[in-house]
Amino acid sequence: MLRWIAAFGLVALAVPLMTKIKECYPFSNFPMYSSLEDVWTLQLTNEKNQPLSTQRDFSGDANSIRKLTTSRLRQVQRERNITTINLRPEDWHEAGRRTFQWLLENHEPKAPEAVEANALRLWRKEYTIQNGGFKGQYTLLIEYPMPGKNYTPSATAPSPPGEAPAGDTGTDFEPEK
Amino acid sequence: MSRLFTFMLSKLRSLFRLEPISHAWWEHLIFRLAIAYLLIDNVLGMRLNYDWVYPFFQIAKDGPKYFSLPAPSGIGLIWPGIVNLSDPAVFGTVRICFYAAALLYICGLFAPLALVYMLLVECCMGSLLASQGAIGHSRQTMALGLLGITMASYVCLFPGKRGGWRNLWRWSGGAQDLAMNWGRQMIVSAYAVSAVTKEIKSEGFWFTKSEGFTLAVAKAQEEATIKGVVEISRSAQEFLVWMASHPGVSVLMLLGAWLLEFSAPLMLLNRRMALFMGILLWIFHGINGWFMGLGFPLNRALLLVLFINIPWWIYAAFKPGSASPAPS
Repeated sequence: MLRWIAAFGLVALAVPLMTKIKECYPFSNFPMYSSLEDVWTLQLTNEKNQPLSTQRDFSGDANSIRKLTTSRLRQVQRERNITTINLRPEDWHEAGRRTFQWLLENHEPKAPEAVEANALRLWRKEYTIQNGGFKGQYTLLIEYPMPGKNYTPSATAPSPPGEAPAGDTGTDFEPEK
Repeated sequence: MSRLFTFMLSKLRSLFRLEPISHAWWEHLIFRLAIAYLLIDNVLGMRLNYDWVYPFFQIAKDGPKYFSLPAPSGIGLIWPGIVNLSDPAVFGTVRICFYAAALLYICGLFAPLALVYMLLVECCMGSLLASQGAIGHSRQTMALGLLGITMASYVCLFPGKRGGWRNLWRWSGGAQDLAMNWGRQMIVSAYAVSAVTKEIKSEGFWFTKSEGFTLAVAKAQEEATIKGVVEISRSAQEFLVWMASHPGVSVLMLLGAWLLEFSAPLMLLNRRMALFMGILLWIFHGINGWFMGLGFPLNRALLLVLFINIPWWIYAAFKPGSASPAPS
């Protein structure tokens, strides 16, 4: 018995402990890809719907926009005492606003002229399989004017990425695989 | 035929036999060198080529630049002062002390003291990054392994007279063997807990979610492409399109991945199983890297050093008077 305790005892303690603790560095329940129910992501674009990367276009240490926003969404949920099912567009909007604020305060664009963003947009993209191919359905969560840029949001709802925005000749963003 | 069956059965039994894994002095030296290198690489980011690694290494090289904790995690929950690591002067001092601690650890001098310092720095850096609201899991396994090694090194300082820790220590082979044993136990726990979480969150049907998995891979490939950190090959994209029309393949992949993670603790049984499962998990990470841009290079390095342990197998194969590798 002792040799089994010696060989596996710590595993027997650590697995239930980490399952209970969930995320608290260095402990984790390692939930990557554990929820495969509805698959979605968040995409960052400029006002022309050209995709931006927190890592490539802002100072290189920023992380996934999806993770950054969802952690702030959880904060909003806690503050407003609402469940995930009851999330409203304004909750997403607030989470997006906090993310952008953090991003711009901590991570200046690497090359503002290269980013060419007068405003940042955050899109939620839902993935589905249709006719053997992948489809993405976009919902605009927030449009955030870049500080110091003279940008007036359009009066009409922006077109989703992949569709030509109103008054624009097109975009190089190909959202569907 | 029956002789072949008996032979196969005996080999299978030997694969599942519980044996203490005690290491030679030179193995411990290799372990310490590798662990110190991975820690310096991971915590201080001193790798020379940054093209293919995660952006974290770049942060570590220059020192972190986070001045607030918007979503506190780990040590950040109890000590907001970890933001001081963003001060270049503080980070510079921490870095020098870290080198000294790594050197002491390699030499086996004041190892418990060196380990606890390296663990503290690793956890502070990891917590600072995780506290920004985007928790990544690419380096947590290293921290857990280090935690196991550190705990064991302190336990061995107070073994007691008889029974208790001393028995665990004796079974493992010695103080250093116990440290490696506990480090390995924490690392395999990371894999096992991931498998358990998948089943808890999916209420026991994780490997039936073939469509969800296909979509998740599409999402991962797209995220990786937009991030521009990892390149997804053409073959991986084509395989994904093919997989979308073959849900059975997704189920098989999910089942294989889950079984591998869940059975990772088997690597603790003996060296042969550690080699066998270690190679499978190493390939598993390689496939994830190719297919989803999630290669987990640190996990692969840990598997290579602590489980697959190529130097020992070379030694065992060429050891004088040994026709085949000894069991442990």
